[in-house]
Amino acid sequence: MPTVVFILTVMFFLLSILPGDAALLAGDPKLAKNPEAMAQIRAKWGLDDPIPLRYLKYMANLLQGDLGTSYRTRQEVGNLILKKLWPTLSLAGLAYLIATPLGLLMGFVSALNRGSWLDFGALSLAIFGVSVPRFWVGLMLMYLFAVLFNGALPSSGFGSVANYVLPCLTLGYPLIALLARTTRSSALEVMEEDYVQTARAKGAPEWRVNLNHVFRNSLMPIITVAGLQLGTLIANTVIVEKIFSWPGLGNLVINSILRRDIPAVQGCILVFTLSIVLINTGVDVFYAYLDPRIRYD
Amino acid sequence: MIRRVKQFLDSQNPMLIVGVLLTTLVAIAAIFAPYLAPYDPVEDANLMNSLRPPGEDFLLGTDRQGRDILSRLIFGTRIALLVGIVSQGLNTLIGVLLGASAGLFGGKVDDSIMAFTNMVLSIPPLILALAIMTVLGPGLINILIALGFTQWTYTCRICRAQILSVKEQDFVEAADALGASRFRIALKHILPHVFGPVFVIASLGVGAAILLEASLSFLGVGTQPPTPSWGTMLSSGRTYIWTAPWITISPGVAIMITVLGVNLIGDGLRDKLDPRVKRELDLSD
Repeated sequence: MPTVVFILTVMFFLLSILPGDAALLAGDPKLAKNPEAMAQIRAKWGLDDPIPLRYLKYMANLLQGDLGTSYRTRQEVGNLILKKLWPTLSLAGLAYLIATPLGLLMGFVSALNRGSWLDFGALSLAIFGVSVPRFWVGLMLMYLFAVLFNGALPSSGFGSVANYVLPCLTLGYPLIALLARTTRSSALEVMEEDYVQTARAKGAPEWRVNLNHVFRNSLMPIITVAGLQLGTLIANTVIVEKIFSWPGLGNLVINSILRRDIPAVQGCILVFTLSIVLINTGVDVFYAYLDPRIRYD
Repeated sequence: MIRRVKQFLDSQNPMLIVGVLLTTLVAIAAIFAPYLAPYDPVEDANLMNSLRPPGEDFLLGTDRQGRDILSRLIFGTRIALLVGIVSQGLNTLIGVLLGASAGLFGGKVDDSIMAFTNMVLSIPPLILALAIMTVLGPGLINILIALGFTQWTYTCRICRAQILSVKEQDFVEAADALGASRFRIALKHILPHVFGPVFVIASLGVGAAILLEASLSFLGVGTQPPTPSWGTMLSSGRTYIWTAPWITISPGVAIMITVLGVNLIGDGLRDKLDPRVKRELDLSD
């Protein structure tokens, strides 16, 4: 929670001392030469108040669930965001649900076949995954499917299941790569442990050693990484939404930044940080639940 | 001599060698850009040559303004390396300063620095950079600021963790017993142990910074045209992806080669470090 308040406070003050007349942004540009109209606009948006007072007002409104009014569309920022929330969350959630098991599987299989061509292939894919810009992969997928496969999958728009395929792939592949890498190194480490040797010595079948002893124990460090990545995934929807013209929060925040619609930008950043902080807290709690050795005071 | 070189190469991780080769290639392109590029990246715009496909005159084709893409790519190495090195230099400086103060002083200083660090760490870099770019507005200098003041958290944490573990070692106690001043112990006995891991983080961070710059420019809040930044090139190519895909393909490959190069160096160096430090670094990405 302090994180959210900190980000909001810093952003509020920096955006307030920014050069440029906010009344110009809030009002009709045609009124710029009419001082009377400008004064009216300032009074209406509370831009005349000293900055600390505006900050207190903003925070007080926030506590009541009021995120302010957008300069651009004159709509409540809260409503604006609510409308965009589902596309973004469903996209991030779906990508996450698909990428996580795939990454785990890839990493575990390559750890079991260490040094083989399979391992090498998975490792190269993982390195590739962290070195290639996501938006470039998105654009290339778009081009491939639209031009070479004659529009087998839609490259923009929202609504049907087919619309989800390319954005999900673009959003999720770096996570697969990262999880594969983490799982592989974690599993390799666990394989050296004494209890794995013991399990094998007492004659447990190989699949059982791998599944019950190696896999389960190598999961712990992965959960931290996987949990934190959900936050990163939500943040990266910004890029994916821009590529595929996805009607979500990411597009809203970019358009608001480009048009300097400050209340909307603040609202979006608030929602992004809030969801990420909530996820991180959730991960910590889940982790303590899984590993009784860890207890937070 | 040749045998020596061969022996040295054999003893190294092949990934590390590939990384050094790729990075050298990019660095050469950046240094000799004016001699390597067939055209000027900004001035040689001619609408007569607009959207030409790759061919004899223009090896990688031209963009809408008729500028040679190959030349823009070559000059783009300068922007990429500038962003990567300057922002990572700033981050390393901030991270080491904060991490060293936290580790060496301990107590309240440590608590408050780490609370702040964890707070910054919990926000994904892209969101943080977007927030800063909203305040500063677009531009190359602002990108350097946005990236240079936000990615120091891992450096800070690694630096602190290293200092805390080195502080307990016998040789520090020995130096203390010999009467060395606290300042001397910190500088000569503790800090040298920090540089290895910090360098690894920095080299991995260069790649991340290049990718972030490209992302921000792609979103339209980063480097602005006509600066030959790879992200900007990709962003302007998006409109023409159906008719002129060559505008988009090559900048992506350039980013990939550069980031792959520095990442391989970082990975290779990480593998050379001792396993305890390695594990800490592993968790960091």
